[in-house]
Amino acid sequence: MSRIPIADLLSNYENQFEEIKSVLGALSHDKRLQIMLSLLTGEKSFRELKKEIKLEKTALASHLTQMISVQLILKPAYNTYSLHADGERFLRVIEQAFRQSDLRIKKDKEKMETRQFSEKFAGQFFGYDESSQ
Amino acid sequence: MLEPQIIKDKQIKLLGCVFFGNPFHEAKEWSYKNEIGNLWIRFMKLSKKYANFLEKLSSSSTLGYELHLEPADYHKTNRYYVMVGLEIRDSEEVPLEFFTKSLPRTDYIEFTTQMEKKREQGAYVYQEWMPQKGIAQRYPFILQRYDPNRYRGLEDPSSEIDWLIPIQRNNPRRANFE
Repeated sequence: MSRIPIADLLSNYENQFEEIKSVLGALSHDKRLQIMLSLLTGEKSFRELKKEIKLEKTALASHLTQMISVQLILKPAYNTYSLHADGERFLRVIEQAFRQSDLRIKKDKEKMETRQFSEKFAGQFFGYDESSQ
Repeated sequence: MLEPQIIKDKQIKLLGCVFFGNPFHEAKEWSYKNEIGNLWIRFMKLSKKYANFLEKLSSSSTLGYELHLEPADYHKTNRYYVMVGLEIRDSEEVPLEFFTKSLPRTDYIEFTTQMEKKREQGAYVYQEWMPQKGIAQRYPFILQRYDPNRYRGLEDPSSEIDWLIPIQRNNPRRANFE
């Protein structure tokens, strides 16, 4: 990933909070993310998406409109939807950032068992009396 | 027996040989002829072969470590992990026959037992001293450490073994290892 100078990064963000918010808003919904993931495999018709994502007609239409407005997806032909290059870029960046995040590593570390020995195992070393178990 | 010492925030890295299974098929516990004894023999042979490597990597080439790690299904299988070897500073690249292990950074208690009283002294620390101090074992492993200056073999009742147990506060109000 290319390195952007911090000063540029800050000024870019500060001037574009609203735009960034609208893209993040469009991304932060599980159904919309599902639609984008589905379109990663190629363009789909409205009917195909409706069946796959299991949404009512109006709800699906509303999600599609929101995503088109921020250029996450395209409507290249009547009743046909595809992922915009921007949409694919955002998905890839999110996936990469999520996969490499310290939080996920921390959660994996938390899966490490914090427990004492079982009495049976401890008994090998520390002379537990069978009758006391 | 000296009072156990608390070692704060320590990360131990080991290099050595690994066994998984029931280590007492060949012979009973505390015997040179069981699978752990065989593991030490294998490690010692490899240590001679790679003496220069170990000299560079190990933090103290004279102290031997024995790690016992209890997996969650031990109660069903009677099988567990044993690693024998040395503490190392760095584990970038090691000879193929060796394994390395970076144990989680944690506090430990360290204490020493005499060979002839190891069970009673260990039981005192594990069953009495630790609960009294409000501390509990943190991870299901234990380390035995053998210092050749004090460990003179299993048959010598005055031989000493050092033990390291990873710990955590059981009850922060009672824990006094600040």
